[in-house]
Parts: sequence; C-alpha cells; structure tokens
Amino acid sequence: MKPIKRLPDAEFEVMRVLWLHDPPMSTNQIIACLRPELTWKPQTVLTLLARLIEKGFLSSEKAGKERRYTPLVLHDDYLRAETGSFFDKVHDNSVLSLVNTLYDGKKLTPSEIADLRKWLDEKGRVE
Amino acid sequence: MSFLFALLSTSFSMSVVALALLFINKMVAPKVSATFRYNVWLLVLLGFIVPFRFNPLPALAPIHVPIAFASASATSNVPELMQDEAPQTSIIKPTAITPSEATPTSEEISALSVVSGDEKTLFPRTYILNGTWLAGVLAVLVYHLWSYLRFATSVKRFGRVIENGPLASLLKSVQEEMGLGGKPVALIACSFVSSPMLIGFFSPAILLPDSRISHEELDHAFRHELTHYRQMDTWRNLLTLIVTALHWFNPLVYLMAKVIRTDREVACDETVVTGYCVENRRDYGETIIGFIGITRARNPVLSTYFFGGSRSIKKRLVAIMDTNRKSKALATFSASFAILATMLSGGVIGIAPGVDRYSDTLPYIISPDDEFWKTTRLPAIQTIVPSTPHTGTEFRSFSFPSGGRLKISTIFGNIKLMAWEKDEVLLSAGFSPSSDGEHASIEVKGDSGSLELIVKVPPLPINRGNDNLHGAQCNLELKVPCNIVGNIEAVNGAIELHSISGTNRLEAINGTIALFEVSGNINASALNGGINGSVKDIEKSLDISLTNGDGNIRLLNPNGVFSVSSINGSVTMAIDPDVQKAQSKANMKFIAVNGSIVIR
Repeated sequence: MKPIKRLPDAEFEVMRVLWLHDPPMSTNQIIACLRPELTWKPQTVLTLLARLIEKGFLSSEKAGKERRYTPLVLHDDYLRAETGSFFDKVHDNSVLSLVNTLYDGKKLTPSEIADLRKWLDEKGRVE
Repeated sequence: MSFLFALLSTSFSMSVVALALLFINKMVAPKVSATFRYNVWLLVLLGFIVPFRFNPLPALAPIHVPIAFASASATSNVPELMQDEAPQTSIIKPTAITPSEATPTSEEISALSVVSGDEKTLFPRTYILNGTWLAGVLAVLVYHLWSYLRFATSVKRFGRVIENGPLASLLKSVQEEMGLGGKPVALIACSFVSSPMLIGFFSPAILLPDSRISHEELDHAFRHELTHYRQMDTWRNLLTLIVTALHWFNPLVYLMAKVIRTDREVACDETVVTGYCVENRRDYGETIIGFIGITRARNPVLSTYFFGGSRSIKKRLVAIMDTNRKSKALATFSASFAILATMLSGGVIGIAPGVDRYSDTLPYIISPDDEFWKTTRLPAIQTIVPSTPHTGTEFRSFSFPSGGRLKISTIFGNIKLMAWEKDEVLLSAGFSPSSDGEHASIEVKGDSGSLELIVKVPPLPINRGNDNLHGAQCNLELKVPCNIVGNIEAVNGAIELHSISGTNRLEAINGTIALFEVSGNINASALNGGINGSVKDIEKSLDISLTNGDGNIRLLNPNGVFSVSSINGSVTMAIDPDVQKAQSKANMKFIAVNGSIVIR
C-alpha cells in the first residue's frame, strides 16, 4: 500500500465529505454535501476526484450514467498520518502546551514519572 | 554594509550578556520569582534584535584583529612631551641634523599591502556572507512558519469547536475569575494533541486532547493556558523565534531559547499557584505529571529518542511546591545587571563598531575597485544619515587618489584623519541625536580628484526647560591616503591627524588640534583650543596660529619655514632629542601677544 500523503486543502474537503457521509457517493451528491462556502464548479470537483483516485485515496465505479466514489483511506488512518510522530517535534515551538511534549514528556521514562509522583506526594504530605 | 558587522558584534556581546545572566539566574534561581527572570529575558531578546545602541565608551575589552592599523604605533603622546628635560630657552639655532631615518613602518606597510592585495576579492565575499546569513534567517523562519501553519491547518481540519456544554462553561467561569471574561478564547477538542495547549495570536484557542480529563485537571489546564494568554506568551515566543532566526549561527541563542522556554513554564506555573495551599499545589503538579504520562503513552516510538531524565519538568515541580517568598533585592540585582549590560554591550564588551581598528581585515568593506561602486557613486551627491533613530555609526568608502583634495567641515563633532596605504577614503561617521532627537547629516560631493564632506546640523533645540540641552553631533573618522590636500574645519570639535602628509589647512573653533607625525605643509589655526602633537619633515611651511590656547609641538625633523603666532597663550616647541644630532635647517618666525614661546 502506498504511504499516505498529506492532502492539500481542496482535496481534503472532498475526502471529508466522503468520510462524513455514506459512500459510495456520486459526483452530484458530493457537490451537494460540500460545505456551503465552497462554491466549486463541477469540473473542479471532478479534477479533485481524479487526483484523489491517482493518489490512491478513492476508488470509483461506473453506475449507470455517473461514477460513484468510495474512500480507500479511512479517516482515522489519514488523521494519524497527518498528525504523526513528526508533529510533536514541529509544534513545540509555536504552541504553549501544559506539558511540552518534546522537552518534558519524552525525556521521562515511566519509572522517572513514578519517582516524580512520589516526590510530589511526600512533599505535599510533609508540609 | 556595516549591518552584518553590527549584527555579529551584537550577537557576540549579547551572548556574553546572556551567558552572564544564565549564570546569575542559576545562582539566584530559587530566590527570584520566575516571572521576573522570564521578563528579564524579554529585555535580552530585545537586545539581540536592536543591533545598534548608544556607545558611550570606547570598547573596554576590544578584540584586536592581527593586523592593526599602522598609525597605532605612530602615535606620540603629549603628556610625555610635557615632562621633557628642563626647559632651556633659546632662540632658533639651526641645528645640524642628518635626515633621520624615521621609517618605522616598513613592516607595517608590507602587512598592509598584503591586505589590500587581498581586498580585491572581498566584494563578492560580502555578498556570499550576507547571502548565507539571509538564507539561514529565511530557512529558520520558513521552517517554523510552515510547521505552525501545518499544525493550524490540522486543527482546523480535525478539531471540533466546543461552544456549549460543561467544558465551555467551565472555561468561561475560569476566564471570569481571572479577569479575562469576554476575551475571545475558543475551545477546541483535538484528538491528536496529547496535552492541553494554547495556540494563536489574535484570537487564541485552547486545544484539549480527547483523553479523559477530570474537572480539577481541566481547571488547572485552563488556568495555565489562560495565564499564557495573559502573559502574551505566543507573542513572546514569536520574539524568541525572531531572535533565533536572526542569530541562527550562534549556538548560544538556542541554549538561551531553551532556558527561556523552561522559565516561561515555571513563570506560568508560579502565577497559577500563587495563593494556593500545599495540597492545591500538589494537585496541580499531579495534573502536569498526568499529562506527561498521556504524552508518553501516545508516542512510544519517540520515547527513547532523547536522553532520559528531564530537568525542566523537575524544575517546574520544585517551583510549584516552593512556597517561600521571593527576594526583591536579588531580582532587582539581576534585572539591573541585564539592563546595564544590554545597554552597554555595544561599548563595553568586545567588538565595538568603530571600524578603524578592524576594517583592514574584515571582509565586508566595499572595495572601491569594484566597478559597480565606481559607476554608481560619483559624481552623484549623496547624503549620509544614520539608519537608526538613536546613536549610530555609518560607514562609507570612496575612491580617492593620493594627492586629492579633501574638504571636511563639521559643527558639533570631531574630525580624525588617519593615513593608510590605499587610494580610498573610508569614512566612519558616529551620529548622536540632539536633545530634540534630531540627527545631523553629511552631504557628500565629489569627483575623481576631490571629496567634500559637509556636516549639516538641524536647528539647535529650543530650551523647553530641559537642562540637558545639546545639539546633534557627528564625529567623523576617516582613513585617507597619506598624501592629501586637505581643508579641514571643525566648529565645536577637535581635529586629529595621524601620519598625514601633503598640504593641509586645519581650523578648529572651540576645539584642539592634535598632530601625530604629520608632515608636508601645515596651516593650523585654533581659536579657544590648543595645538598639540608632533610634526616631521615639513616640506615648505608650518604655520600655526593660536588664539586663547596653548601650543605644545614636538619637532621630529625640523625643516622648512616655521611661523608661529599666539595670542593669550604659550607655545612650546621641542626638538626631539633623538634627532637633535641629525642635520636639519629650519627658519622659524614667532609672534606672541600676551604669551610666551619656548623652544627647547
């Protein structure tokens, strides 16, 4: 299987429709379900669908007059791929998390966490 | 062109400041509030960004580059001259002197010529250096911007905005309690984050992981993130990023950024737990440890990537449990250190941007040989103004032939000319604004054989009850070819000449004239100021006229016609003892009104 690549916004919007609704869906159904602020022409959507097929995100079959599309990549798999391990490294500088994943979290082994917890507990009790 | 130099010297001197502050903080850490330390860093960060600051002192610890300027060895100093042997009044007796071989600089000249041969290739190197630096800056900025936008996109794609319900109302109530009610802080559930976090600049959002979070943990998390929001930490992160980008070549900046990050968190925790009892503090600490546990569980692959044991998280926990009062005195100490050091770092530490000492070896100077420079510069008139509103130094280079005409005039400012072995004038102009904040400017005119530098000053400040009233000042330091035809005027400023020959007319009003091994023809007049120094190899004439000032001149090789006139002042002419036995002929003419003339 191809590795899952990050999708550009437009292609993601199309995939979102298919993930949220009941595939397989026809082109017209997809257009109808797009977010209202996206006023794309049918041709645009067809181009996006073709690209998604090429990337291995969708499969299509002919049903009568129109094509119907089915996602090949599950939402959760895509989510995991897009926000994978590299992610934590990247965002540590720009967001303010309660625990800084890069600088705090991953440096600690479970036993160290247990030790910290113990230390905290004792400190809280003594005083 | 001096930008990169200013940046490098800022980087260097601020690194020293940052290191010292790191050290001080380490000593005083538990006794000084983290919020305070974190704020002091803000100042240091600004120091890294603003490359020019006032430079009241010559560098106390200058870093000398191997090839010093030739005149450094050619200075003779005046005090030494004063305590010469007992004065023996005598009227000129033509002394027999052999032409003294006063050529001390043959070694230096060869050193200089090596440099100037090298300099032909320097201009492209400037581009390479600047280009490399800029590429690094862009790389850091683009990388961070890209990652940030990627993250924000994913939040937009997969995040679920929580507008109602118990979570939203808890956030609202915490906001109100913290005095942040009504502020637009969104709440977004994000399955892919492992701990609560704050993101965004103008309309920030708190992201929550989809793990099970207790009411109490949420309360802690909201307080923590809202405190970040109140401290404007996203903006301050941006500042740190800008510093990192500008100084990407400086390893200390990365260390500093890391320390700032820890101090930021400790400061935030500290603010949250102020007023908490020990039990509450412990609970808050447990919340943090709890989220670390989640983080770890979610990223097992990376868990061994970094060396084990985090000091920063321990620091945070220790600080959270620390209920001792913080010392204001120590805080003031470290803050005042940082302020002073940052302000003075331009002048006190290391490479002060006085180009005279370093330009010979530093590669960023425009070589006048370069065609681009030649074609664009002359005969156009240009005006030099400082690039900063504060005190600043501007550097320019002009091609200028040996024997060319040089006219300089200043009002409120000193002029210093030093000879070098190049057909080029290198100008370093130090500007400091008037008490009204206005700057002087230098009007430059010239052609292939002459150069004119006229300093124009803004109108004198109007007295609005301000005691510290002063005009805009501009001090000029120039390196010029040895042989020039000069016309140098300073009003309210001193004139200094080093190893210059040629024909020079010098006029100082309210300032002294200092000559160091000057030769050729000199016509110097000083009103309300003295004339000091040494002259050698006078070609035809040395004319000195003094009004309300004293003269003190050492004659290294008295030749030619000397004419000295003095009103209300005394003049001492001393023939250098080393060359007295040499042969020389000099005609001297003296006029003194209300003063004395001493020859020895």
